[in-house]
Amino acid sequence: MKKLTTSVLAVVLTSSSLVMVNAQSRRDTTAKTKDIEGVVVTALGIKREKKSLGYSAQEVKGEVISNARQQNAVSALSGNVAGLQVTAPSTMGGSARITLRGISSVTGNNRPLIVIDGIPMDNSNYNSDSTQRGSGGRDYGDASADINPDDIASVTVLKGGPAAALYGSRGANGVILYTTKSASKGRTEITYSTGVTLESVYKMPKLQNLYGGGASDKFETVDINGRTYNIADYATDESWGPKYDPNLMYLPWYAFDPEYSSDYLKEVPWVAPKKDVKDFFRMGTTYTNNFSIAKSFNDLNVRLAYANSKAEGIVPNSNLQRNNLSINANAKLNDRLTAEAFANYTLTVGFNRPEQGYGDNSVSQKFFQWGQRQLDMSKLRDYKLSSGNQRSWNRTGWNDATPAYADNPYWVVNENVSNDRRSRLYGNAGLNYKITDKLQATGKVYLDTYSFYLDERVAIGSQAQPDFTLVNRNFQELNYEGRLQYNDSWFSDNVSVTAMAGINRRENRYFSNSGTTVGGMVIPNFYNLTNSVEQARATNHQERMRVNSMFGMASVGFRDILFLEGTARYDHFSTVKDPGFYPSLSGSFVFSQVLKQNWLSYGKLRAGWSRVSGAEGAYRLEDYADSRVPFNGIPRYSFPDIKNNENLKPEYRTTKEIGLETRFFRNRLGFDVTYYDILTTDLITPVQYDFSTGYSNGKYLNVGKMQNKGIEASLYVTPIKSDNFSWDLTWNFAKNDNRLLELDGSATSLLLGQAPFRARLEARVGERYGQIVGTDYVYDNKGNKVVGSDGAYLASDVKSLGSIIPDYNMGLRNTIRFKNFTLSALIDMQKGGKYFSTTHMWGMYSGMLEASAANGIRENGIVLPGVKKDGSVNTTVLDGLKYAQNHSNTVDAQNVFNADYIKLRDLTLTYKLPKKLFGEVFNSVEATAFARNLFVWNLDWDIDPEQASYGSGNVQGLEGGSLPSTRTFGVSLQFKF
Amino acid sequence: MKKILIAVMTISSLVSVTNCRQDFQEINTNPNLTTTPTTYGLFNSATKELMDISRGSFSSARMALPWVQYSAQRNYTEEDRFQFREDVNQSLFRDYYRVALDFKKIIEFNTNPSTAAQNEVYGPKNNQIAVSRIFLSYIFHNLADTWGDIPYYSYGSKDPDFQALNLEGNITQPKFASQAKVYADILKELKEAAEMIDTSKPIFYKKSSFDGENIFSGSSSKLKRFANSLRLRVATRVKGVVPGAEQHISEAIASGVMQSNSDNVGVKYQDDSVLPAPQYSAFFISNRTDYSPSNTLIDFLKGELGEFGVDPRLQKYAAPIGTARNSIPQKTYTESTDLKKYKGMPYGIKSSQTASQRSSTSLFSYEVLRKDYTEIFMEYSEVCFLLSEANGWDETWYKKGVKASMDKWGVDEAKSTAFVNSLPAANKANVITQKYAALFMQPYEAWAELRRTGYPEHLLKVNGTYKLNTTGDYTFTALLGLTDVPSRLTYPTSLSSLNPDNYKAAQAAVGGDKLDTKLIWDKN
Repeated sequence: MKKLTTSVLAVVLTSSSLVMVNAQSRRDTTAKTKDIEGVVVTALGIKREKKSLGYSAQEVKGEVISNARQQNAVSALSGNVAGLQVTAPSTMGGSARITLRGISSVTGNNRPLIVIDGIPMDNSNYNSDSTQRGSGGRDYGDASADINPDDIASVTVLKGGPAAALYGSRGANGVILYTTKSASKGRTEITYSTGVTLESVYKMPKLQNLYGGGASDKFETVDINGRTYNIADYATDESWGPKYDPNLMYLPWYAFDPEYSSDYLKEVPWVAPKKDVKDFFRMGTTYTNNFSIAKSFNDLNVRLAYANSKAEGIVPNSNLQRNNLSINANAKLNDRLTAEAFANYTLTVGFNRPEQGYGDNSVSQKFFQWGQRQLDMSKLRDYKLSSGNQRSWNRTGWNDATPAYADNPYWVVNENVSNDRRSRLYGNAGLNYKITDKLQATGKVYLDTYSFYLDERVAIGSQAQPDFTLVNRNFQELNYEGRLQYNDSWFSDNVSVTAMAGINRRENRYFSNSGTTVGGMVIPNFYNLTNSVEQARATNHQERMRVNSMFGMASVGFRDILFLEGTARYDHFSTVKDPGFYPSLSGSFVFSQVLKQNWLSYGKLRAGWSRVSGAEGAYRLEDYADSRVPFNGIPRYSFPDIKNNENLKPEYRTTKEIGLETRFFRNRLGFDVTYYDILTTDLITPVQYDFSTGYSNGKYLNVGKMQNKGIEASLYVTPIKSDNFSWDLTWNFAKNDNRLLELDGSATSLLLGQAPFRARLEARVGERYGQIVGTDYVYDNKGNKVVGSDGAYLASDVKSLGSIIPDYNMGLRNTIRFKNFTLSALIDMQKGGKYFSTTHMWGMYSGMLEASAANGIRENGIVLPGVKKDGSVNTTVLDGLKYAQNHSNTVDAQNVFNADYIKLRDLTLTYKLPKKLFGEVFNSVEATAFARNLFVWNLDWDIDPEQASYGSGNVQGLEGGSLPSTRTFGVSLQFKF
Repeated sequence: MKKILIAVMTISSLVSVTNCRQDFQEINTNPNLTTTPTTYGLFNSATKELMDISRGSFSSARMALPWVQYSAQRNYTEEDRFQFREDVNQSLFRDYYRVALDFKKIIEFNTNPSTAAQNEVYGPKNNQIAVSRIFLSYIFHNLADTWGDIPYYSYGSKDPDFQALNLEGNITQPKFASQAKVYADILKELKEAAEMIDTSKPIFYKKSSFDGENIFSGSSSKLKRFANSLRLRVATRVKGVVPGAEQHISEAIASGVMQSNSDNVGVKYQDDSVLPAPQYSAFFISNRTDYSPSNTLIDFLKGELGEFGVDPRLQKYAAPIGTARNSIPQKTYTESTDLKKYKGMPYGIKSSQTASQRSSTSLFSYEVLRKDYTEIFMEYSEVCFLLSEANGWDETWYKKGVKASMDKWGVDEAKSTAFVNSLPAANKANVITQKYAALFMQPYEAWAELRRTGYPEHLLKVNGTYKLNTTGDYTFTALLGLTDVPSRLTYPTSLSSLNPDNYKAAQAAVGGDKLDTKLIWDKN
């Protein structure tokens, strides 16, 4: 192996960041340690020797992200980092909720900052409030989806606290640092890789197959042309209709269009569909191609990369394309001056991302909540008449084709489509000047800007009013940064010193323009605001924010045994009155240097403390009235239902952490464990008050305390290691205990989100964050559920039904190498946490779900397990309809499920082709076969808990109509020239 | 030297960047919203919103509208059978206060020294305050009629029990004021508000391009008559229960109540698809046909139920069977004199029975579903019936009330005159039943009067049977174990966490937070 000195030198020359490695070449005895620990990218891109860090910073190699061909560089981290929790639905391009060390802010941002090559990446999620609380909407994902996983060389996760304190308010939730690939000195490398992924439906609610649609178990009859026919109750979008009977003939919904002459007035038997819900979904496909050239000239290193991907989702007529182009260059201009630049352009184009939740265009709502079970997809497929009118199964009457509630699902996916397009540029440019051997100065500019266009369409002929809405968003962030660094060693190299001071100005600008048709549209299939029935409406919005900052750090090391580090940052915001000051202090003790035992390869004890704050959005200091469009020619204004507060100040987060890192037996065994305690005070919270204050959403206050305490642990084992065979095992575990300690003196709860009909998400004092709140069962003192005189479960008062936050998460990765084969498998597990399912609530109510027809309950009723009020065992037979419908208006706990899962998250097999097979043309060829989400175990109900959220904000766990989860399989090939 | 120069340059640029703070004020100035809205703009928004939140497809048509049997759902009938949705209950309660806040803001802009001068430009201070007090009274009497004891705000009273709408005073968990106090203060507020109106001046001044308001057409005399009429309504509701109510009745009448249909106060919606009426929105923007006129209403109007003959308002409330939905907003259908052409949706049936019943029922008429429908706060015909009651079930006012209602709905003069002339004699039952017929589409007032008086008697009772539109009878089985129409709504359950102590106190004070707990004026 190379000595550290040289490898560090390479880093100096090729990285886009600055290196501060001190005293790296002095003692032979430390060489081993250095090899093991190496260098890690830390806050502000500073590369540090890992042993000197007094905080936890976990690294993930780029291959981990790219091998399983994840399309999202953020959700690919799931299970690979202790303390990092990802909730990512398998929906095409969907949002990935990511948190580090739990949730620290009640209503503020809880997501970590994402930094790529020093550029703070905007990771906005523009999903509507309605989308996030499961009330219907399309999931457009997070802006971080623009990162190309194949460009990533490595990832460092700074889990917050002292590790991220140099980022000030933005690092309060931790930081994920991506470092992109760059050219290495002296090497030329051309890489091409290509892959294909197939995606199929996996978990979805089980539906009943015994009864068809309607509200009555008898058909109505109607006389048409002198003949009497049975007709179904087309207008009722539920499945409490007659029991299937092949001898029972009726006129189906598609029997009334003369245009379809073979079906016209033709009776068919009342039976379960041959092509059912599962047949609606298709096999999804994703094609990816990556091409990169890295070339090194004398003093110039350049890497160019191009990547594209095209995904077709499981919902018909939906796709997502991404094109990335990036260039990375650094040049040594003279002995003292180096220049470097990085630029990435990404174009993400989505077409018809499926709507989820309880919405008009949500096919899941139609399939699992409100529908008729006898509907056959092969008939629904013909969704349109030649006149352009819709053929909906949900006819208002046999002689009235107007859809009563629901559009034909094929109409929905083919006619009511959406378009989105994000065009993004991010990059940096800078100079580094070595003033002396010990002092250097750096100036850099970082840019991240994008425009994001979105339109959504409701076609003429839909049940809902036709509509065309578009929005254009423009985002820009610029950071100007200057730094001075100083490295030295004193007292005959016994003491090493590193110091840095810098300034930063951040400028954020955001503006959006949107337009929408009013009162419907005139000409079919003409999507322009001029096609509005009434005058189209336009709105605009602008935001601006500036932060001026100063920061600095100093680190002192003693003989590679003891390290002490302090950092400080001062942020002055345009949005709040008081500036923020963020100090941190950390230290490490490398005890293996003192003990010097053979069995102990490495041992370090570390501790850190920091105090940082989260910032606040613009325009929160005064009360503003909403202006509304004029009514009857007179302007309208109204005050919103939340009160602002001019005395708002940033909320503070104090982190204490202590950790132990060890390696034993020549690094065959090792672990890294951290205990942390994060106390958030002065929480900025819209404290909710009684509605009769007039401010039903309360007032913004600095109140409350929230605590997160937890353990993160990683275990590394290499049971077998030889030239031809090795087995590596990595286990990540995190347990976070969250508690909201107090809100404003009198307030005990805060509404976070309201499910569309029943149950809501609250933060409640004394409890874990994110409580699902609703009615529970009534239990007797022996823990039995109590039923009323009608045999139905009694409902309690409204109370907490459990938190959305899991008890713990863990990931176990096994990697086995045998000759040219590498097999890697990640098992990802979550224990605890809850979600509320509106699908279960309405699916039972409307007789769609399997349980609403199981065990003959429709004929014989059901005796619910439980006791009567007098304590005797329940024997009362409850009507099956009543039992099922009670899911929507009695005990909400019936629709609350555990969010446990165990997943075979990914499985990859890589084969490195022997060189003799391809000769001199290629440097190397690798073939990979992979699968993701191959198996899921331990689900409480049919819906995968990761599918139960539709955004990356704080509103989670309110399932309102989810698409099925998927499993994917694929192969990829990589050629290096 | 060069090195030092660079170091100095770096440090000086550092200082210059961090010192640019003078722009912060400008940067944090909101370009999207205003802090100083006009009071006429607040008034225009609040009056419209008050209708939007209480007369919609859920706040009305799945609450009081079916409960007084003006409507019946064509599918999913649980709400008709009193199993209301808690989220609808909560929204109604919450939104009343939300709107009330905007009315209170009008008062604040007029009384706060820093904004008062600017607001004088929009309209006379006292008239602006008076109109806000009157609408606050309207909101609070609806709240009290619906839930009983409520958190209450009064412009003119410093009663320590009145704690609503006072976040500025740091009252985050307001007490619930007793019904007796609330009604007494509403009457006092209406009295004082009427007295402070300067009838020589408008409420808001006309602008060059638009009127200041159009509910009162600039007439503060009309506003004064509205205040007195509302006082008459509220005093009648609580007479014999709240001390002084009788005196308010005579004073209100003496001070001048509504005199004709031109004194009717309501919100006329726009004749377009931008801001059309709530019921139009429900049927033609949301495109749902969820409810129809109920069978008992139609049969009553046809003269088959109750003491009255064929009521010519039948054709104004309902469309004939077979009318195409889309012909209703343009009124391209024709009214029919054939009574068989009108049939209501059976009220109180089970969901499983709807499919067989809904196909041959009447939809609402053009007059109800028109885009520019006027949702009524209060109208002259109701005042006539109140005057009839105040004068010992007076015959003349009773007839005037029926005539005024028919005129408002556009009934042909000959038909309305004939109907009025054939009316049975005035008595409590007949006057209140005709008031019920006139209050059509104002379900919360009709529900209050049903509870206060027990009339009309022809409504289908819980466990009563009635004929189906096809053959046979059905029984109206109520849900939630109710044996009669709800006497009130239960408090929104979320108050249990938002205001636990006062919520518990109020639950006890009203006599149990139940649907069949009677309010103080519910004596029948």
